[in-house]
Amino acid sequence: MRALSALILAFLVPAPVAAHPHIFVDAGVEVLFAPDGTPQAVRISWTYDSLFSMLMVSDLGLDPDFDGVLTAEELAQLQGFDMNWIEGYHGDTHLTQAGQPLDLGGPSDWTTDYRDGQLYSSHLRALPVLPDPAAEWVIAVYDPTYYTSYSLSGTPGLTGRADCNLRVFEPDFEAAGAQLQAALDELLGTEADMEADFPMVGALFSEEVRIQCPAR
Amino acid sequence: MPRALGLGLLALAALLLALWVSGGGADVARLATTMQAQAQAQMAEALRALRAGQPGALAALWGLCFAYGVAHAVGPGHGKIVLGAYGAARAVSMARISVIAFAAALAQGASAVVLVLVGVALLGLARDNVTGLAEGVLDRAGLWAILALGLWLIWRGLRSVMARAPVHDHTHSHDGTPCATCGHSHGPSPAQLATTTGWRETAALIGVIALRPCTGALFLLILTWRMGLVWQGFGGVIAMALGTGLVTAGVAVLAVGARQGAIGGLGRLGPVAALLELGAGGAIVLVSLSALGVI
Repeated sequence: MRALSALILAFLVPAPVAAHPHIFVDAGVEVLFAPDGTPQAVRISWTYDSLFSMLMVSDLGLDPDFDGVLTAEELAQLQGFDMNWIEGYHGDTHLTQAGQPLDLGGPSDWTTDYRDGQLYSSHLRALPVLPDPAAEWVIAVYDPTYYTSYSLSGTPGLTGRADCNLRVFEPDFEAAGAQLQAALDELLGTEADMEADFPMVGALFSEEVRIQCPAR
Repeated sequence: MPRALGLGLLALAALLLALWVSGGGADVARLATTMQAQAQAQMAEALRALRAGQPGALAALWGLCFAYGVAHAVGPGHGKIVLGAYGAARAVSMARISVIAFAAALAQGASAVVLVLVGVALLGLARDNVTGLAEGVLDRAGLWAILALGLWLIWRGLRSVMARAPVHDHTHSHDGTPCATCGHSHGPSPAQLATTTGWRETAALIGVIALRPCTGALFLLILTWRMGLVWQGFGGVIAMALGTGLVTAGVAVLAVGARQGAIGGLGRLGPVAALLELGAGGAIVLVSLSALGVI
């Protein structure tokens, strides 16, 4: 099992530069505010597609009969399966204000579950002090390389504050597609390697959660 | 399960229709991604049903694999672009480029099979050797990982030899990617393609596409192997390859058509229809043979 996992890893490691999404994840976003009204943290939830869930569970040597049901002991072994982030992986949650990226805290308070053949996980990321607390800020969940395709599921939540304005912006697929095509056309005319130099298009295809809270 | 198959094929038909009507674009890519996600999710269901011995599960799985192959190839894909460039640049017949497209897709599937078999052979050895030696497993895992790395390097070397084209140095790096040069096809540029002739170059063209096995095929093969559904997995990869080849060939044929100034009308639809028949026919043969219990 280990040898095969190593083989899989040999493919998954270079995989971020592959062209298409191979993993599909439904993402949930919930912003938590402190009692004084400052944004404190964001809880990110991920629901993995069934095929990748099956592969992941199998990689871990769990659910050998593939019936999609884990014993309590197997479920215990599964805990935190996606929380061991390799160096250079930053969790695919992106916070910006006025176009400037802001650093989030590392993942904490994670949860793991496996139901109906799908893996579920969630974790908390601490929010930094915003440069301008009264101005709009943006949370987006995407893989820059587009190896994983995230889509927002449900309405993002705001917990601890009721006077904020929250809007979800859909990506402009036409513009994103045109931009991607332009980038590919540019590559095609050169000696560039189509796979290695595949444009970082994840952000273009991503939804945005825009939040704006009045000053207190 | 027949329901899943029906949905998969229905979605496929809708996608193909949209593809040919609109001639590509953002909506098609979006639709393709949605469809790929659906096919992928239903594939897990079909695999579970197949393992449980439900009737019709194999046909459903292969049908979904075919749909997955089509959807996957409609997205921005390497093989399609290389062949499109080839078709646009070279004085090559539609028939020849169609054969190349399908050969490349099937070879890509075959390379995925070979790779997983190599890994599984190692796994088999590892299991035999470590039976009853549980504490030795972790040490051995390190050795197997090194072996896998060695095989990977040999694989890369073979690929460079086959590609024959000059391989440029990778001096760039990708943030967050430990090894930026692993796993990439070194595709020839259109300029190189334009000057290629003969079967060697054709083989190189196929090799360039084939040597980067599709990740989706690897996912499927690893799962089917672990489930003990070996030939069913191979069949699924063939169905995927037929779906991918269908789109790749379509793109290449359209490129050839554009070069020949034969766009639009029957000049365009003729070869496309033939390709549709070829690809769909292959998938149907696979599915029906399984339904008949022949394979």
